[in-house]
Amino acid sequence: MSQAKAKTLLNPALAAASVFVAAASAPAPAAAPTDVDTSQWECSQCPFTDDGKLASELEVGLGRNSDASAKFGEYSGLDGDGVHGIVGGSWRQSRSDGLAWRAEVSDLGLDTRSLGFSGGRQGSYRLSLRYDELPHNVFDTTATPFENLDSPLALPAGWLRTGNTRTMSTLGTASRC
Amino acid sequence: MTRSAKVLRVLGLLAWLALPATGIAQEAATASGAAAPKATYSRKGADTCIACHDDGKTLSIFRTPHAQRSDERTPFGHGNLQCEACHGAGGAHSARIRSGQPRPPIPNFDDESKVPVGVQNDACLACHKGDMRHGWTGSSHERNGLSCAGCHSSHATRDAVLVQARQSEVCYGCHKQQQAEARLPSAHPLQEGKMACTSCHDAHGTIADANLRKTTLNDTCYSCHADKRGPFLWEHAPAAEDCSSCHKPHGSTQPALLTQRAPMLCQQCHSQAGHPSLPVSSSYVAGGPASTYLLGGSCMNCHSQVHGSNHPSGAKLGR
Repeated sequence: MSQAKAKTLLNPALAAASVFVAAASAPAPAAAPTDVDTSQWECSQCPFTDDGKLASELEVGLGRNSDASAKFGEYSGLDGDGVHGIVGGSWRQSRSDGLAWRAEVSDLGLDTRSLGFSGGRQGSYRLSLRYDELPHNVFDTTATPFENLDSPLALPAGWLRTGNTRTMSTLGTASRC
Repeated sequence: MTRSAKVLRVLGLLAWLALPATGIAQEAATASGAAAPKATYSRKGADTCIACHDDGKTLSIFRTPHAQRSDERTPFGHGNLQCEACHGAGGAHSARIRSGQPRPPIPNFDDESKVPVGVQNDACLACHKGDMRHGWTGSSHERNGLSCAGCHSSHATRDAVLVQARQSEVCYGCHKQQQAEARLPSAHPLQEGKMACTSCHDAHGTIADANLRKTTLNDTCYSCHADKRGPFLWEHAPAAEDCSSCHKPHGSTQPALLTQRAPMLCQQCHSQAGHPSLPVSSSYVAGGPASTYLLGGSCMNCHSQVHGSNHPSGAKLGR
């Protein structure tokens, strides 16, 4: 069979971005018994992280595929052979007034790359943006002996009918991508 | 009994009835049939707790929405009960004890907790009773005694079950068959983190079978596979009726998550004599050469629009 690559991205529309603004899900307030005196509950030892400092993570990876394979790379983006570089990371920040945001990227360098952002004020609103790619590789080395692929299908002249493909002596020469 | 004694007893009863439910410890004691002791809270709230519970797993709650001080709905909102909002009154647990005396336990939330699951869940549902939990009561997870903490990690900075790429690991803790099927050659992209179990299911319960997000299986599939929905001029009845007539939802050894490979799958229903997929002469009997039309896409070589066709001449779903 031919090794020519016929990578198929069945649904490029899957690389979609969505935007929505929605009220954050609103649980009811935690009911505190009225007879509990919490005036001395200063929580001075509590390690809150809503101090406005930026927290971030960054990951860098390097990988190598010995062979190309559409199926191995389906949904993973690792369909090609050779060296792949992969970058990901996340950044987040929150403030004591409830404002917070988070951004993250993953698989930059591959067909499965995604980027996301969400932010808002807890209990009031939230904004989310996301871009995500999903490659669906059906095949990349397929070939067919059929002619007239539009319709109706026809086999080449002199085609030898046998019980299995191993004994179809003309299959190799007739197949094409 | 004197009149004053009767009045005191009535007042005492009224006072007891007027006491608010003061925490999970009291509820747990009531649920177990024991007399509920009066709950007392710690002296300094979370500062009391942190004096001992200062491990990273516990303190990571301060990097979660539960510990947002400006949000008065959260346990750490102004005037709220901090740790004891969920764990219950910790006065006895944090009080001084004599040497050798066991420290009174405080309710925790995990599989080994001695607090009844229903009481654990009530602590969460007291706040989280929005529309996402409407189907919880009577749901399969609720009936099987699953606790909120069985799936959720309220102290984790990022609760795994709320992260798309990690959620399936949590579900696979119980759903082993689905875990195995998701590893088959043809499967939805759960392993790759491009889907989550909640893309199709709502673990909090729905009115549909298998806790599906939509009313029917087909409607759930159409959420992504909208091109299969139709309406079609020429419908393929089983496709419109039930996607699982031909496809498996979690994984398959056949392409496109099919239950069988064509033509066997198609011939479960379609077996009219004379069709190219069946022997048409003595040279095509069993053991002889098969129809070349069964190569490659098999039936779909010709019937490519197997989900339905809108072509005026597409009655045979060939175009």
